[in-house]
Amino acid sequence: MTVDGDWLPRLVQQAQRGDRVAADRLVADHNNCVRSAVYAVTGRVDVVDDIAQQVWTRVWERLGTLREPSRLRSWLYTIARNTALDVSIAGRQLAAREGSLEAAPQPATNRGVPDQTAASGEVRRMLLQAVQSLPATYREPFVLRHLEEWSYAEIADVLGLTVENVETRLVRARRMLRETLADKVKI
Amino acid sequence: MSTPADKLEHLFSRVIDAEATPDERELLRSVLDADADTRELFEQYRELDAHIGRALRQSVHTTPALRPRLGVWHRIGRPLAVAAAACLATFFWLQPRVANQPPTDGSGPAQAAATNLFAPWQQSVDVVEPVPSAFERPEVELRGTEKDWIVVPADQPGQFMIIEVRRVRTHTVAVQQDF
Repeated sequence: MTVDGDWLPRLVQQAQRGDRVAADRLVADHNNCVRSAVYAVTGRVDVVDDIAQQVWTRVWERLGTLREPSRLRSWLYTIARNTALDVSIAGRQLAAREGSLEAAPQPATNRGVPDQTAASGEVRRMLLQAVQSLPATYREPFVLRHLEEWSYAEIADVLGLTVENVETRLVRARRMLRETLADKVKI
Repeated sequence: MSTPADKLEHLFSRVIDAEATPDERELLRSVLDADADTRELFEQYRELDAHIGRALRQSVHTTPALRPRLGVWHRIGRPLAVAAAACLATFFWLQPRVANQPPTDGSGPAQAAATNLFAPWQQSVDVVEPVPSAFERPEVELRGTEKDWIVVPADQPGQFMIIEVRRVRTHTVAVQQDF
């Protein structure tokens, strides 16, 4: 994960020098990574857009401090994770004062891809709820594995875990999801 | 202490995530061949994984809104179109209006110049109606003016239109210093 090819460091350096085209390219190439990180931490699709915006704002503020452009993905992930955690903590504090965030209505999650049937939309909603119900420690590696298709070693690197830890968390996440969904969704 | 079930789930996980070694994949294959229940359990895990992965990608990831890469013709097309529009506008702006031309009796070259941008330029003059004497103004000299005449050749040789003008006499003063 430390090397993404020669083009990435060049792209980062161009963006650091203020090249707008390079900056646009960085966003286009890494926006899904940022969104995955936000979702992995929060487990909520409805907040991903807002938090991802905040993440990119922080990224542009700090891009000049990135010393190893080849490690852009880890660096981005760290910023996205911290931003999502900040927002989550703020959200929990707000929820403690005004009521549970869990009870907040969730917008439709079928952005972009129209459902073929209402049933498939319902199944997807249940699957996402099950992922959301996972403890964050299990959800994070699970989401990274499925959205970013990172290897155990890559996940371990960004989360500061051992490979064995990542593997154990993935096994437990799968077990929990199966137990949660076994009687709800016909697999 | 991990149980056989734990070990089996770890093996499932490693195979599903493509992290298993060839030996582990072979081991799982032999286990699945030997036990239908284990095979069903593995299929459940695998399908659940695929379903959730799909649901996550559809919900969290956006289709990247990349700008289409413009081809050469697309890139130069807009400047070319702007240039062509400018040329067209200039052409129409410069094109003389035939309706505004004076009568064309005996003024063939002038008419040609008026309708054809590439025809040689011919000087033409306005036809001035003779002013009835009743309307002639009295000669009035204005102080501080001097007479001048503008002589314009007419259509026929030896005919001229003379315009008398009185222009204000001026003189120059050298500026001695800025003020």
